[in-house]
This record gives sequence, structure tokens and C-alpha cells, in this order.
Amino acid sequence: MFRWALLSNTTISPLVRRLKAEIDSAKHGCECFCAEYGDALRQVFAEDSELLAFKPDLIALHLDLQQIKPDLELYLPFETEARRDEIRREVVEHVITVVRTLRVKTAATLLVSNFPTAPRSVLGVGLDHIFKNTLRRTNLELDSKLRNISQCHTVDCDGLWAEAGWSERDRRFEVLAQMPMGPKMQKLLVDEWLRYFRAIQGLTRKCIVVDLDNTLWKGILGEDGFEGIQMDDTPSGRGFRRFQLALKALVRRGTILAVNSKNSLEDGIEVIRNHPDMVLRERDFAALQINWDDKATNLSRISNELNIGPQHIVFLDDNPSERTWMRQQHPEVLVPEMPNDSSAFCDVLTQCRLDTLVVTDEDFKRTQMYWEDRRRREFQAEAPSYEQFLRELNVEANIQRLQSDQLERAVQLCQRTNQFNLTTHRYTAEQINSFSASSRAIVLMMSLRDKFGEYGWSGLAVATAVDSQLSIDSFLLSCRVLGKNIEFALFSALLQWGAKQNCNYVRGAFIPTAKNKPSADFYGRCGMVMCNGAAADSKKWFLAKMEELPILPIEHVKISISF
Amino acid sequence: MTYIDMDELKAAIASALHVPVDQVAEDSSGRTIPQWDSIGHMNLVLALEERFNTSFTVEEIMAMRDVATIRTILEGKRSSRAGK
Repeated sequence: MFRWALLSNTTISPLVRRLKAEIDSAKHGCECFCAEYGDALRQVFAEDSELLAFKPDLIALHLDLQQIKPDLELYLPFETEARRDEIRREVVEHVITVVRTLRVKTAATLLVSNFPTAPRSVLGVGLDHIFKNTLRRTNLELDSKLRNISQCHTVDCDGLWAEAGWSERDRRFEVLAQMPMGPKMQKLLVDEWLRYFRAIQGLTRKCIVVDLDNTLWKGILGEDGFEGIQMDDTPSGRGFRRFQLALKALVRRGTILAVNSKNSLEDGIEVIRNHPDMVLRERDFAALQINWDDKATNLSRISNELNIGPQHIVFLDDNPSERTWMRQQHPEVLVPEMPNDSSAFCDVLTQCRLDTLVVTDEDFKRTQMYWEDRRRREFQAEAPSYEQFLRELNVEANIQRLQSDQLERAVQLCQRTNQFNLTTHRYTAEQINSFSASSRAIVLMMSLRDKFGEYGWSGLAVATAVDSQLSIDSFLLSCRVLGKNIEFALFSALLQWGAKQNCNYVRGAFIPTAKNKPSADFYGRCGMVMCNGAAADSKKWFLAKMEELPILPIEHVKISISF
Repeated sequence: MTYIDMDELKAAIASALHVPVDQVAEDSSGRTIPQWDSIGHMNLVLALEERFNTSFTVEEIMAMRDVATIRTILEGKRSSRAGK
């Protein structure tokens, strides 16, 4: 169960109820801990506080400036510039001290609110800018300091207040209960926290499936023809053009894009390849299902082809009946309402749960990799046998001890990998670092390439060597490299490291989840023996004497290893 | 004086505090309904403002300690609006 802690120097408990309701309605479940006013800081600084005993996975820290520097806006403009700088530094230091203490004492991800700027003060236009600019500089300094603290993120409360409107600042509840947030602002803040929650938990969407007619362009290709459809820089085409530009930017960032459209394939491809106003081109799409089949069937095809589960897919279609049909047939697919007006299409993309905490090199390369994969699948379809396909693929695996600049990618692999993941430990950077730092443990990263291109860092294993036993803690492979028997290459590297540590036995667990069936028999296929045949939904242990393991099927892989 | 329907008020209060409507009586207050704590009170105030399309002052919010008083305050607000 995910553990949330909310800390604030104001009243924050109304947000707990909202948060729990949102998470419960999505059936994820969570436990919440909440500390308010002076108690919040006591919980942070005291030894043995309830907060530390609670062992939160995530802490949302929401400090209100009024509690740190009461009525600052009313006296700051009369201070000297030197004194203003000093006050600003004090405010930043106040927050950073709390954050650093939390960083040292807990392993939780930290979400830290910045300070909202009121649109105007009682002192009027001539003096307004002094307080506002000080606050803006405070937020900038705070953000740059928070960015240097691991697993710490700034929540742009200032931006959220701008969205909610300053009239949401309920002066009555500020006076009565130190609860300045109106219901709309409370909801916005909780929603923002949930974006981080979903990104941490791997509950985000990886793939956008789009319709073509009246979604990527204005008009119906089958009726209006190549010349008649519009996505140009004119008032009627501009909404579609901007939507395509936004999708292109998301593709660049690593979101996978696919087409699901009722059209003739030939006509559709012709537009994608040759229409002068198209922004998105063939290489931007990882899969194209352009035919007259039912769209739910096409969606299953895309999901299988790309190996992306429906729970990670968003479907965007201007046609309400197609949306309703898709929701019925694939309840796990996110199907947002599309506005009637194409000028508002881009706004839909902010509700698609595409958030990612950090963008790694792999994200930038992802669409290129899916493009290579399309060519690979064509090659496989032509090969006489699977074995021959593997031999001719010229797979090279590079396996090495985790380097510090790979940490973000390692965390991302832990967060995102579902299918080939034997224990599904969602490790944070801190936790991976502690394995990495231990002399009795190793974190291995594997990158792959073949004749069609690079897969990048796509495998991770964590193991410890204690009392001549090699114990595999985590073992996972990104789904796009599956089906090439390279999991055995990573396993063999672990065995080599274990042998160096004088291990005789290898031990590993399989923890079943809703999604990791593809890896259920992996240790069995390696030649290890199940020690407990307990119920299907519980943890299974596998064990083997290392020298008795059979030869692994890796003769088709060229492996280089450095520990 | 403009009349506020007691059943309607009780239903609104019960819904805001997440309690069954039969737990809300004319003399109910924070002492008789455990959910009517300080946070419950804030939720109640916001819900009543929306339901009865009105807005309370800080003094009124502090005075709204039981169902009967809430009714009196609401009726007072309606009368003063009707008088205008």
C-alpha cells in the first residue's frame, strides 16, 4: 500500500479526504498521514516522530508564507534592498532546511510547494512590484535548490493559484482555520500531487493512438480527397496543425504515437508521406492501423504489435460514438472527451496522463527504436525459422556495473517495467544507490543492439552475494527487447559475478503481479528449481547449485561484460 | 420571515457531514455528531453556501453551532434579500 504524508504549517486535512477519495476511486489504495501547523515541523525535526515511523513513500510539503513571515507584503517594500535579500534568503533557507532534513531521514519522494504571488497588494501599483518580484526570486532560488536534492520536485503552487484564480483564497477560512484554499484550489493541488503519484507508480500513459479524419486534419479523406483535407496555417487548419505540432513534440519526448483510422491504407499513407501540410510523418508513428475494421480490434492489434498494455494507451478520436465504443470494449484505455472545436484539441493532451518525472536519453530515442522495430518485425516475418531469425539478427549485449550517470534510467526501468519483471520492486534512486554502494551487491545494466539499431539501456539486475549464495533481488527487461532470449545473457553475467564472489548457489524469487506472467517461468527455464509450490498468487522461490545449471541458450548473442 | 424547509436543511447537513439523515435533528450539533468537527464544519459551510446560494460571514460561520441556529441564520439571510 502506497504511503502518503501531507505536511503543512496551515490546515491541510481537508486535502487528505480528497486525496483518499481520488486514489480509492481509481482502486489503487493508499494510507495517509497528516501533520498540520506547528506539529508539521515537530514531526520533521523530532527524533522518533510518528512521521518517521509511518515510513512514507511520498511526502507533500506545503508551507504557507504567511506562517513563515507573517504579513510580509505589508512591510517588505519599506525595507532596504539588502534587508529584502536577507529576508528572501531566510525564507528559502527555512524551506530547504525542512526538505534536507526529510531527505536525510526518509527515503520518500518529496513534493514541495512554492509560494503563490497575489495579483495585487493593498500598497498599490507603485509598490506592488517589490513584494511580487521578491516572491518570484524566492521561488526561482527555491526551485534551483530543490533540483539539487534527489527525488525532490517543486509543485508550482503559484501556477495552480493562477489557474484557480486568487478569489479562491478564502479569507474567511484563513481567518477561522488557517485554511486559505477554496475547494477549487484544493482539487487542483490534489490533482497535481496525483500526477507525480502516477508517474512514480508507473500509472502513466506511454502511447497515444489517434484517428485521422477530423482529428489530425479537417475533413474526411474518402470524401474531400487529398486536396480537400486541411491542416495548414489558416484559421480552419490551424487547430489541427497545432495539434500535430504538439503530438510531434510529445513524440520527441518519448511518447509513442500510432494511428487507428477507418480509411483506405493506400490513401492514408499517401497523405502521411506526401501531403505538404502534414507535420507528423511516417517515422513519427510506431504503428499504423488504417483499414475498415472495427477500431477496438485495431486497438488490440496496436497493443500487441507494440507490446504496450491498454492501461498505458490513450485514444483520441473526434467521433463520440467511436469513443463510447472504445470505452466499452477497452475500459482500461483512457478515452478523453474531444472538444467540438479543433482550436482546443491541444488542451486535451494535458489531461492524458503522459507525465514523466525525468526525461532520459532513452525517451528521446524511443520513436526511432519503434521504427527500427517495425523493420525488425518485417525481417522476422520473412525468416524461415525463429532460430535463424535470432542468428541473423546479430545481437550484441553490453552488460556493466551501474554507472552514476545511468541512475535515472535505472530508476525509470524499475518504475516502468511490468511484464518481464520478476519481483517488481519499484526502487527509488536512493535505494538503487545503496545497493550500488555495497561491496556485497551489484546493480547490472544491460544495453543491446542488433543489425537494425540500438535498444539502449533496457535490462537491469540487482543481486547480493552473502554466505556463498548469489541472491537475485531484481531482474527485469524492457518489453521491447523481449523474445530474443537475451534475458539469459543478463542471467549469465550475474552468474559470472557470483562465481567471482565465491558463490556456489543461486537463489531468486518470482513475485506474481497482474502483469508479469511473461516472466513467471524464467528461473525454471534457466534450470533453477522451485522450492515452494505455494498458491498461484504468492511469492515463489527458486534455487540451484550454480555448477549444475544447464548451458544457457545465448550462442546467438555477442556479450561483453565489465563489472 | 422566509421559511426554510427543515427536511431539506437536514438532508443538506447530513450529506455534507457524510452521516445518515436520521442522525440529524433540530438540536444536533458538533457535540452530538462526531463528524461535525472543525474540518466537517468547513465542509458544511461550503456545502450550505452552494445549496442555498448564499455566503456566510466569519461571525455567522462561528455562530452556526447547531441545526436550529443554522436555520435561523439562513432564514434571516433570505428575508433580508427578499426585503431588498
